[in-house]
Amino acid sequence: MSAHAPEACAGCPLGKARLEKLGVATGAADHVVALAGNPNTGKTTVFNLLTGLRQHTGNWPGKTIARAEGGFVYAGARYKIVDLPGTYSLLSATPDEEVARDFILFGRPSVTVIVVDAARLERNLNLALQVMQITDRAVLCVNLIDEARAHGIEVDVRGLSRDLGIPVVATAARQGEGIDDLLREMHAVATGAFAGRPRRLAFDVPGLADSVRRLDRAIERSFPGVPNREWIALRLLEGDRKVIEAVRDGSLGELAADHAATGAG
Amino acid sequence: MERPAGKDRVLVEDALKLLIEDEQEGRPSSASALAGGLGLTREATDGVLHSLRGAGLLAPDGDPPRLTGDGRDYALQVLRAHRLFEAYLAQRTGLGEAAWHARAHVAEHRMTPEQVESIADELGHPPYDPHGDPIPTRRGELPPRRGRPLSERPAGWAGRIVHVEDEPPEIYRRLVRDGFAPDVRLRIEEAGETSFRVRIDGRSVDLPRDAARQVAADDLAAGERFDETITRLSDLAPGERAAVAGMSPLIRGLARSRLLDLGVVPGTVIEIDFASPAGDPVAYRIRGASIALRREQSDRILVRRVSGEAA
Amino acid sequence: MDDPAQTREDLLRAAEQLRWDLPQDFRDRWVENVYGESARLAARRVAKTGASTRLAWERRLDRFLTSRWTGYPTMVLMLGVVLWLTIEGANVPSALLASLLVEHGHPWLRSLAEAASLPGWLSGPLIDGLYLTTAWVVSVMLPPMAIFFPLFTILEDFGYLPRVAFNLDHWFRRVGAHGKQALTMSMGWGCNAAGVVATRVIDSPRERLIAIVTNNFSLCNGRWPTQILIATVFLGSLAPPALAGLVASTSVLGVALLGVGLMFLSSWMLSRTVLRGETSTFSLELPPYRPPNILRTLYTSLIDRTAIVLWRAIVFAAPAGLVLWLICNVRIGEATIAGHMIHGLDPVGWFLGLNGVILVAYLVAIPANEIVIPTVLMLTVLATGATGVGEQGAGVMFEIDDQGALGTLLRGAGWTPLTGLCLMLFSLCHNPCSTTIYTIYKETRSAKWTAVATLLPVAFGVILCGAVAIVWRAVASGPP
Repeated sequence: MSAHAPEACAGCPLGKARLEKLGVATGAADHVVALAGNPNTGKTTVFNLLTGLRQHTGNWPGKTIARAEGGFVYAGARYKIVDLPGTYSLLSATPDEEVARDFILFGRPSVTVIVVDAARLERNLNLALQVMQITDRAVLCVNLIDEARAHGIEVDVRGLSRDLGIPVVATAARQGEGIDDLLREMHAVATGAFAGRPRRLAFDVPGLADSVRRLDRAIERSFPGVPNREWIALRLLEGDRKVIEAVRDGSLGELAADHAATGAG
Repeated sequence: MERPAGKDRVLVEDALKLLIEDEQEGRPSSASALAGGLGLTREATDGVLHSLRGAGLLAPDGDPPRLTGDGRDYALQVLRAHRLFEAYLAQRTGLGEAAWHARAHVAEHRMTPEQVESIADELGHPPYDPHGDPIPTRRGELPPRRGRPLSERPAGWAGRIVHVEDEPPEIYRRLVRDGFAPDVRLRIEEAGETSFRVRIDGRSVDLPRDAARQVAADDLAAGERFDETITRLSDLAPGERAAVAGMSPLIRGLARSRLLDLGVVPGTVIEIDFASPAGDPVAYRIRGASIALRREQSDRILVRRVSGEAA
Repeated sequence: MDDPAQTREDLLRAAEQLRWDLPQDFRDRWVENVYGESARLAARRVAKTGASTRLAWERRLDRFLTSRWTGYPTMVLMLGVVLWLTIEGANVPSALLASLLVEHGHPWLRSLAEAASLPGWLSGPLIDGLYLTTAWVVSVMLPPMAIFFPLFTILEDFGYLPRVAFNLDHWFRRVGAHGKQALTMSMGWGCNAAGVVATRVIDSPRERLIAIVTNNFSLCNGRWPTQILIATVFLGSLAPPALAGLVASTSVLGVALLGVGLMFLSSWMLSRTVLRGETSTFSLELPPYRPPNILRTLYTSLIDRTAIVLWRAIVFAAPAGLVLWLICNVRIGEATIAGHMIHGLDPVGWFLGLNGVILVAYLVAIPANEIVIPTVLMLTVLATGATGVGEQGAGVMFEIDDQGALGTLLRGAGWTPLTGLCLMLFSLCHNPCSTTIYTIYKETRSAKWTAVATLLPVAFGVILCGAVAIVWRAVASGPP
């Protein structure tokens, strides 16, 4: 799938000239990458491949509750990458989902990579769409593309990217396939070279659309430029305490300012 | 309002709660009924009544005891704490229906007004508790009770459950097992002298009259019809396919969001993948993944059979 | 200009009011909405040439691994095969390491110490205590772990463990526990501390506590060697040499399964008494089978599991070796400290079908289960005065790699098959090691539950061993 694999390095799985694995020695990072995804999508394999670490996780949800962190250098920039717990959603109040959600919102990652299983795209896009409600600095990593092919499944990566409004990369992390593409797209989003315009969901739930719209305007007044107003509106309607606190003490505005600053640079 | 402390608080508040419940149900109160409700001797009950009168919570004249305005306010706040706590247990913990009442009964006497308000905030100020009982507001307003007992409805009548009484516990457990909960639709198939036969969630359930009395139901909304095609996921045979129609309100809180997140949403087509050696749990094919569910859950997932390939 | 804080409060108040107008099931409808969108996108951008996303072999394999007739036997067989491979495979490298580190390494170090004219009070504890214990732990533990963990990891990576949880959920539900306890139980077969941490996958606090308290009934890697060694000496030796490995692994399998049975029993007891409550719901994704990446598996299980567990064993074994050397060589009155302890505990040991030596060994080995057997050997030599085995004297831990010789030594010290059997049972049912106890405290934040988790298995062990001893002696002394 990796159409742009560098010919100079045909034998090695990665463009080693540009990727330097740092393991856990992250130091001061230029960019922070959050790695989100359903359980069983090979998320940890992607993490290990990028950092050179050997995290081992079982294949059931909730296994990694704490986040794993690692680092690498790509194109001269130091990256810190955080492996979030594998979750099906970000809406439930389970500890693993809270860890994942809070990091994407309050950890201010420069880019969030959403790892999905190519053979179970319909199921996995559920989480991807939820992440894209929170942040527009996202890259979709359609992993296990080799397995999908074995099942007779082809994913139209370009079409999906157009539909979603974020970069989409096909990978087979176990084979190292497509990782170079992933790094390039991550770098583009993290540095602001590529500004995604993620598809926002239509709120065609009766009674909900109207409420969200009204709150949306109020949020814009209080926090101009905050990128995820609809999502915040939804969380406020649900009574999410963390988000309510962030509105009350104004820290939500810092997120907005932060977003604007790195987005420009 | 100055609140008594310790053991006195429990007795005083229990007495107030019994009295306000009598008042709401339109039952006459009496000191002896109160003694039975509190599990006290007549002498001890008189002592409690005396201190209630002393605090101005009861009218000064004798039997039957009557609540004053202050007494009613206090009683409503105890009721509010109890019902909110049950709502909290239902939505935020994995505890079963049978465990709520006892825990709420302890919590109602321990919580400060601030804690009660914080629970109300967290739950988004629900107007009714999980049994369908109205929760008094902070200002002591009480949403109206709704519906009429099922035992008063004729055969052929279809409606929506609005309240399920949680005492006595044996009957309540049976009702929960059969799927009775606020917001569930049902149709009365037979209304006999001693027992009822009710169509609920795709199954016919026999209900003794005294159980039918514990369930209050309202008419269906205008234009709504009782859906006869609904069946339960657990009634699906291998090889059959069905589309999710919804989940029983008895699947609550975390369990409900877990299932939603796994793809159990209306329209999702499900079929049996394979059963475990003991026959329960069963793995279902849900949106491209095998998901194992226990019978307690597949019993409460409502589906409609579909034929042929999934949409 | 408005006060920003006030504007924010207004926003929150508006949200609170709008919440009243929302439909009750808005959360359901919202997730439905997101899934609808996912389905539309996937339908547009995914082309399927196959009929199903599941291959025929996956379906067949799932049917086989979870069927009424083959599901449970396959589970037992898999565990049996893993144990058999571990026992058979570990023998040779274990003997090799023992020969290298103990038979040759130890005398060499001693002669080195003599050459450097180190005083006895220094070379004794260091070389005979610290070094020898460590060497023993490495040679007896490294080979089985290096085989057991990768095999286990392969099963895990392949996707078998969730099927085990699926198969056993019914029985866990019957005893009032959670199906995912099967996962934490099998993690416990590697390490109980890891198993306790893994209970985080269980949402319900009640069921999680049950899983934590009963995890110790999973034989951990520190206890497999004890089981294997004793089973080989006292049970395997009863069979012809060709079958010895099979008999030994079957009896170890029996003890492991007894542990599973006790885990169910104690879960049931807990959920009927102190941890009464409703069983919570259970939903578990059975992930697609993934052919394990063998090299990656070897690497991760060797680095992550074997090395970490071994390191821990050494860290605990080294100071324990020092303590052992001290209690075996420091005298109070006529006898050594160890001698007094053994003498004092002998009656209790007799009652349990054990002896004072074994009980003292378990006291010394609280930090790490791994050193029970070496401690037993060293104390046995001391107590029976069986000096003159090789060049090493009493109070020195040594390896007897010829299991015949080990058997002779133990029988000489009064061990019977009853002692062997009771030791295997006691090794299954005794307090968790110090790391596990600490982990339980960290996870539960409760001294009470930590105490329950620590003492419950001991109670089981005392009852079990006592009952076995009484019955055994009654049968043995009764009329033929």
